[in-house]
Amino acid sequence: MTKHNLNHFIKVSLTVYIFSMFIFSIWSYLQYLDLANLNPNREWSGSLCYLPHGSRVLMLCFFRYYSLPALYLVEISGPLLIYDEGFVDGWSFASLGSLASVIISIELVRWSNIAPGKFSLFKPINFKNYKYLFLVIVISACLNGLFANLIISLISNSIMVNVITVFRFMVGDILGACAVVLALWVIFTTLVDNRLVISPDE
Amino acid sequence: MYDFDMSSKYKKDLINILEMLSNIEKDLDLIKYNDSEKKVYYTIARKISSDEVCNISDIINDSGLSRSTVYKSIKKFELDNLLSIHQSNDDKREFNLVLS
Repeated sequence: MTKHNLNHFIKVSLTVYIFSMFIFSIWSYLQYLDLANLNPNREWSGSLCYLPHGSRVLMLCFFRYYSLPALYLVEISGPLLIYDEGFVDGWSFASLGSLASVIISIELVRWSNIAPGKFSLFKPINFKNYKYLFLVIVISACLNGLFANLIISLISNSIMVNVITVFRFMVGDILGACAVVLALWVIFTTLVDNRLVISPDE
Repeated sequence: MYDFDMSSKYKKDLINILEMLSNIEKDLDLIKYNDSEKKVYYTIARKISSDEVCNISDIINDSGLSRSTVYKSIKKFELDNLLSIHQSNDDKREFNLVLS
């Protein structure tokens, strides 16, 4: 790894870790409050608006595989340091499935010839077109519902995963990721608009 | 000493995220004003908040946009009831802008 790449890797890792932990903290707080009062007695596992899936998708789409170590660190340290309720034993393995689901989705989008020319793992996809990002969100949510629950059920014999739980994971991931993109859109377009005020003294 | 400047690759990735967010806005067509019009509006708001009065010449000078662009934008805002135009008491040739 060249010095330039190492430099880039450190910057990406710091950005990804701070951003993803921030998203995780917000989600944990909202989950703790249970504002919509959907699951007051914690009767079922999963979240109907899992914001951290948004940070997974965004970071992997835009910072590519440089973001993987930091994302995995968030998957482990988030439940450990901030909020562990709802995270079952073996989540550190299940989260590998979650990250794999995003990677597979990105590669599927790449393979579907969105990036012109021959298929290559190293060819960048232009995620400036948000429709591709949405495609990755939907595919990865579906795969994550299957992978994460499959790994959990294989590791822990005491946990029975049913179809509704898988569906809940899918819906939660899609809604959570869309909520993150929507929040960023509102925040950053407002900032960009305000930047249009250029002082003549500057 | 560690180099704190953003590398071009890192900067490009961040800009791509912003462009993606901006593309959502463009595609949904939620904002009917273009960048120049928004700039005119924000310049008016800024001038009024700092000096309490604002005339068309101030906006042309402060925004750096052409006279015709500023006039067209102000006309559009006036039609949308975002601001009103009043003749200045000090200089009859000038028109003050008041935000609604």
